[in-house]
Amino acid sequence: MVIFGASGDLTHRKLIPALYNLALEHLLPPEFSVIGYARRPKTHEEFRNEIKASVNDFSRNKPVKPEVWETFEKGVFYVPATFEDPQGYQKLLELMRKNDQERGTRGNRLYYLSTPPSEHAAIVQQLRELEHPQTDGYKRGWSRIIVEKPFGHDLESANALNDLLHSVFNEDQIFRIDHYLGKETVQNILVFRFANGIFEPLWTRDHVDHVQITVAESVGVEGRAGYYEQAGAIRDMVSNHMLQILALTTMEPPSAFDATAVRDEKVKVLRAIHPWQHREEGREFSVRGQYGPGWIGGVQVPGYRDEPGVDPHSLTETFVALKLYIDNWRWAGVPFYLRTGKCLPKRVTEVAVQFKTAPFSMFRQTALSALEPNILAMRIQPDEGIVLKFGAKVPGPDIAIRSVNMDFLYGASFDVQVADAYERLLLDCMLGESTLFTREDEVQAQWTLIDNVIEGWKQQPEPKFPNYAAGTWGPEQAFKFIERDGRAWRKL
Amino acid sequence: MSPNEASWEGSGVTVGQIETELQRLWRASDSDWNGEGRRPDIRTSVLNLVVYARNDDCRDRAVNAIEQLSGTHPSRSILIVAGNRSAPASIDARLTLQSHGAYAEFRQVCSEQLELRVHGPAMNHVASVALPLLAPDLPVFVWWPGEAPFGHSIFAQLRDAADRFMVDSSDFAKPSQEMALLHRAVGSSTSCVFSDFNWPRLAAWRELVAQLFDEPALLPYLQRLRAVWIECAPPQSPSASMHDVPQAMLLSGWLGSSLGLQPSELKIGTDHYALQLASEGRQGTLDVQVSSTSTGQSLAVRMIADAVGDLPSAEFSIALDRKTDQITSTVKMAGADPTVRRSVLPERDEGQLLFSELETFQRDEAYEQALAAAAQTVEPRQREAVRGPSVGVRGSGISG
Repeated sequence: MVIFGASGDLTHRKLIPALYNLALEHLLPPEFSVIGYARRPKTHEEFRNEIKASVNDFSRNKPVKPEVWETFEKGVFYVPATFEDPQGYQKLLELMRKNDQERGTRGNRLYYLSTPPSEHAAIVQQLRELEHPQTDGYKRGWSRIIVEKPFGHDLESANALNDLLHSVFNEDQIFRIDHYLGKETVQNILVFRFANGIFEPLWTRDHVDHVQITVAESVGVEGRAGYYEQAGAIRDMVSNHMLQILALTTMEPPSAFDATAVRDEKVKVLRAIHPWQHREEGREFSVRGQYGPGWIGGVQVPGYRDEPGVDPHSLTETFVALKLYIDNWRWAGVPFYLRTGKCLPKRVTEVAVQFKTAPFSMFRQTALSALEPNILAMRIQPDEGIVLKFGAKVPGPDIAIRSVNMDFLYGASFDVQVADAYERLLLDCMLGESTLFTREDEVQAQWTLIDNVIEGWKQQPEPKFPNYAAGTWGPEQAFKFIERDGRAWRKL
Repeated sequence: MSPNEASWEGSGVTVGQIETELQRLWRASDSDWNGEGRRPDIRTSVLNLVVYARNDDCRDRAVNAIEQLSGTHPSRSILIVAGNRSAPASIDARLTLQSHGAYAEFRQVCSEQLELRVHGPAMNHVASVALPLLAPDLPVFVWWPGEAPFGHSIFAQLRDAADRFMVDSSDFAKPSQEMALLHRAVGSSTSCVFSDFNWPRLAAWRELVAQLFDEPALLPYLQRLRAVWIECAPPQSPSASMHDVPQAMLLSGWLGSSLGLQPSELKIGTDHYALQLASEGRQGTLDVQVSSTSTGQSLAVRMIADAVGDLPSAEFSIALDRKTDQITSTVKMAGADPTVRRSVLPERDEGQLLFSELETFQRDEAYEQALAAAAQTVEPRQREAVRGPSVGVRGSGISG
């Protein structure tokens, strides 16, 4: 496995700890080798020491077990070179061939692009040389490439990136990673829906009033201003994670849990999302926000425009609320409310399906309006689990009804430490299993929708930012936006 | 520390640390289970209770009341205590997890108590401390013990977070003005419901008054009431007038709103106040007079009704002897022996009042109308806004 951008945060916080944990659980073959490729000059030994410290800091299993690390680090190497330097790739090739011979890596290659998108072209161009049929008759194994988000900036740039990758790799060799899909609880959406007989019949417009998908972060841009200024909340969160969650929640049952069947259904439902037609719709179906100074957890935090690297007049949105409709028989007329933002009061990700209320109240002392709707919430983080809310009789002589929650806590039912998303995804990629990776046509469907939203925004007047204080649940307009429909955001 | 309690405390902590420690306490309680006998504790919270205590006296009151809840209302309570204003912004926390046998020894439910002392500038932003710590998707009850919250810098923050905001008008320094402010707050918030501990304190009184007219033969007297005397303990402040007794305001407000009457005249004296109530469709006026009790009883109500049809004039009264907690209700009709009923009405402490308020999730229209009627006597401008029912005694669960 070759990691391009081996000095970066992702490598140290996620990739290396994930590989170490796979090694710890004996899920990696003994010959497994990882080569870090980055600009900074350092020796193999220095790189090994660095990543050992990272495992001690960020791994879910720590401290490092010496006996596991001893074997693992023998397969760790480092190539210092720029991404444009052909000599660097030559050194890489030599090192990989050496590992094939000495460690038995059998000519299998897994490239990981953990670099900013601006570096992708240079790396892929150079990989073309490495991936060409070898003239010296060298026996090769499989080659795969993992590409980190953001996968393009819009449909045009995503298509350009796809073309670039396809100039070297076939689609089945390309693994576009969205780490949300590696989370146990996201995968559990599929199990919950399709391994149980009782929920799917209710999962339609006949019974569902609306669905809310929330991805709330309590942090700000955390030093990623350069990227975030260009991306904003819509590209950073909605274009990938939230649309993937939406697709898993709304797709038709696939015929099998395999890469083609699952992704076919996801693409189908993503393409069925109703496109906005004109500026009035854009206004009615979305709210943008940007945080100003405020307080979170008793700590004062600066406004977005005061963050280092952010334009003091920035119009980048740090909060988005969207209302989407899906034009198919299952979901016609059911609104899907999506909201995401930075510097909200807490970090929480969930999908909540709100069912229609009882058609009338037979309990004379309880008005129909006082009967609360049933809600099924799938919590993705934190406190992973599923909650079903229903009305129950309060003990006593009267018929008093109170909503109660039936709570399934993932951690309480399965007393095992949940693996990090990257562990699952890296392992899947090594096994050639691409169900949990995003296919080219999914990316295109996602960007088509996002481009449409952004185009709608361009036709609207310039937003007046900032419009919410850090530590609150977003701008006032976001509350009015959903209240207009006679509904309310869930209190999380 | 009892075996059914796990706790943690720290100074100068972050909200993130508090969340982590809470999780750790939960895991620790789960790991006690050996697969036999007692099951692991289960989380069964039904609500969030946020209490803002602006001083240690309020804090102690809150702790006492919350202690009574834990066995019956498994909840996450977040007690925020105002700390040192001149210190830098920081939080001192104490977390406690308590288990209680619910049905049998092997079945345990847990409640979580978070006491957070907030210092420095963070004291002006306590909602930013409470919001991240709320258990998701559960109703949020905010209790503000002590002086009235209106005008306080954090009142709006906590109101916006609350589904129900609870005060005790007995704590109000200027009850008549602050009852009017409370009425305004009720009217201006669509998402938050307000309640006052004085309303459940009056619950038994309202019930008893309604029961006086429960008999169908006595019901016509409701429309013929001519005068009502309410006697109650004098206001706490020696400089206050009798108009500053919140229970009397609420009780007279309830009577007026239940009978569909509007105040037409108000006279406030040092030891009493007199209110004249009327409505367009009603013959004559109803005079309500509130004065301080001279007999040691904390509250007494006497009502005079004119003759109606074949029925002679009548007097209805309820009197409480606080020494014995005995309450006597009497109906006297001219030419007949009086009907006397006696029962016992023990005083409810703060924990019991909190308990009863947490049982209620919906808006209490009878309370809001009684409060509106009480506020009307303070702000005549608000009279138009009040609409009472045309007949019947409401709010007691017994309709007229």
